[in-house]
Amino acid sequence: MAATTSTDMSTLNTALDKISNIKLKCKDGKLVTISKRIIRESEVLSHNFSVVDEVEQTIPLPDIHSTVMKQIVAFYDLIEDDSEYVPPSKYTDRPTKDHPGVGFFSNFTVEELQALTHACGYLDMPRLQDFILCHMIVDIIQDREIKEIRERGMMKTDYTPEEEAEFVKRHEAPIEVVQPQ
Amino acid sequence: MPNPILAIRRKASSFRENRVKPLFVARPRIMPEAKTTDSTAQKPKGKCGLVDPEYSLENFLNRLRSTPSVFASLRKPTVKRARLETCIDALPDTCLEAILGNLDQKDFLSARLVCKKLNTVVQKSTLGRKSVSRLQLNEDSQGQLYRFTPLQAPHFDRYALPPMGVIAPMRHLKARMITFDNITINMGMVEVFEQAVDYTLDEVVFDFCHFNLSDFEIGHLLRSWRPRSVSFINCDWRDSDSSQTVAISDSLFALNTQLQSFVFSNIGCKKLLVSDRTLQRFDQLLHLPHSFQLAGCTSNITLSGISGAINAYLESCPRPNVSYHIPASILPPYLWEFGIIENANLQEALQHFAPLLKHGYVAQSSSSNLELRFTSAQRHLAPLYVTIGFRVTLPMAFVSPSVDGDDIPWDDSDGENDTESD
Repeated sequence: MAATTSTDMSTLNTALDKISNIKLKCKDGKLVTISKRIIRESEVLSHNFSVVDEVEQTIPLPDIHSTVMKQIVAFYDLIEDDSEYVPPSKYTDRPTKDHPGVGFFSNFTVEELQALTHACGYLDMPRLQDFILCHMIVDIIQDREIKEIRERGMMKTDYTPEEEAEFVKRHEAPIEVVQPQ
Repeated sequence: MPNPILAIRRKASSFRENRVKPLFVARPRIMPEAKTTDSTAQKPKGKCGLVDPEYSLENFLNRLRSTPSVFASLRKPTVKRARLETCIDALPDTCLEAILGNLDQKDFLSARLVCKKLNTVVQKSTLGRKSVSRLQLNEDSQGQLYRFTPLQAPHFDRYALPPMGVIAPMRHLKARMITFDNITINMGMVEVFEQAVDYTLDEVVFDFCHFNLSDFEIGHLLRSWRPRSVSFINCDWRDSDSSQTVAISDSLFALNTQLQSFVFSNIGCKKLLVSDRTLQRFDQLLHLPHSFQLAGCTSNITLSGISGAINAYLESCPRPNVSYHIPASILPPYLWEFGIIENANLQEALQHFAPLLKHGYVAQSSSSNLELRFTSAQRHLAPLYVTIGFRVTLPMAFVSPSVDGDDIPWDDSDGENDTESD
């Protein structure tokens, strides 16, 4: 969760209770309505709310474009999980393929992804960062054949066919795998 | 005679002129007034009512095709998929390593085969490690190493690797136990092993290895792995002062206090540089070594050192993880074998251990061998079996009765020093 200390948390909760409709004034001058959950997830916004006593209904956000902010709002509307975000420590903890947020960013353009990465870096939103970078790339690689990974990730191989055959031959012998304890 | 080159040129120019004209030629826009006047003048009886063929559907489509910019602007905007290779190239290796850390181990191989960038990241990191219980390294006569797990034997890795070539493949395995078989271990090999196995091991076995290291170097090598169990089986030391002296000394035990099991077994009788100082350290250890076996060798250990070690056992506390539902008598025993004690015989040994035998009994003895068994049921300690060998063969003097060892041959002809076990 964004707020670190209990006092900050309580201040944040009281501040959020006062207002019903929070709007962000983006770079292009447009207003984007955001949920309280986005404020809780963002370190920057929650800190802003916990520090300032009288919070205005409209918060200026001069560094983020409204389209990017709308994408973030759409992402959070998709995710139902409202619990505190704990970054997965093991691969088993990561969200499954059925999770709606995993495939959300897979069809975004590079420019959109870059803008989103900058925005979530600016707002300091760890859940969003993980979903944009980590889970998307992992979803491309996990449980897939090599050709499929290249197609989905639009990656080109720089192996020669001989090198690839050598690699496969070298690792074809199965090794007894012990389940992690 | 006309010049053939000129004739060809003329032909080419005529071909160019007769060529199909481009589909779209930029023309000035017809003003509405002009259009109306033209249309009144040449109005055909067509359905659409357009006079100029420029306004035909075919012409319109041709124009679209010939001008890509117009065509592209009218085309339905398609979603451009994220070009991940640019993302991956832009990401630093540490970031990629963190991302790939979310992958299952089985996916690392396919990730490595995707492109060289991912292969480098996975290889440099310690992510893609398969956990194997046992791993064995063999060396052939040409100095090349083979890697395999004993379950695969004899179909082991067909790739003989030079010593330095072992590092990269070994960094993708995490073994609990490693057996080094028939390997010449010198300082160069130690560097290779330290790079290839940069994690802690549970058990290390040196089987028919040829050491070219000092006692300190062996101690430091083991210290980097912090194994709980070490075995030296039929190894030899090439550059030691004497071929019969083994470079295993007290320093190995001083550097590796975590050792729970140490086994030295040899066919030929060799001399270890282990002295009573190692045994004196037993009472300072958190846990007594569960197995300390020096078989087929001599050492500098004396009877007083052994009695000190037995005292450490008798005064020790039980392990915290011992289940009290299990009787102490069936707990796995402590096995201490001290090899051949020089300058001592069986009679001296029994006299020396007489005060301690109130806690235990002599289970078996022969002229060259003495086995003592100690139990401490009231303190819930696992039994201790101590075996001591003697070089001087004497006629069997003392054999004490065994309480529960019905199957153990013993002779009660002389039971002066016998004590009943509790």
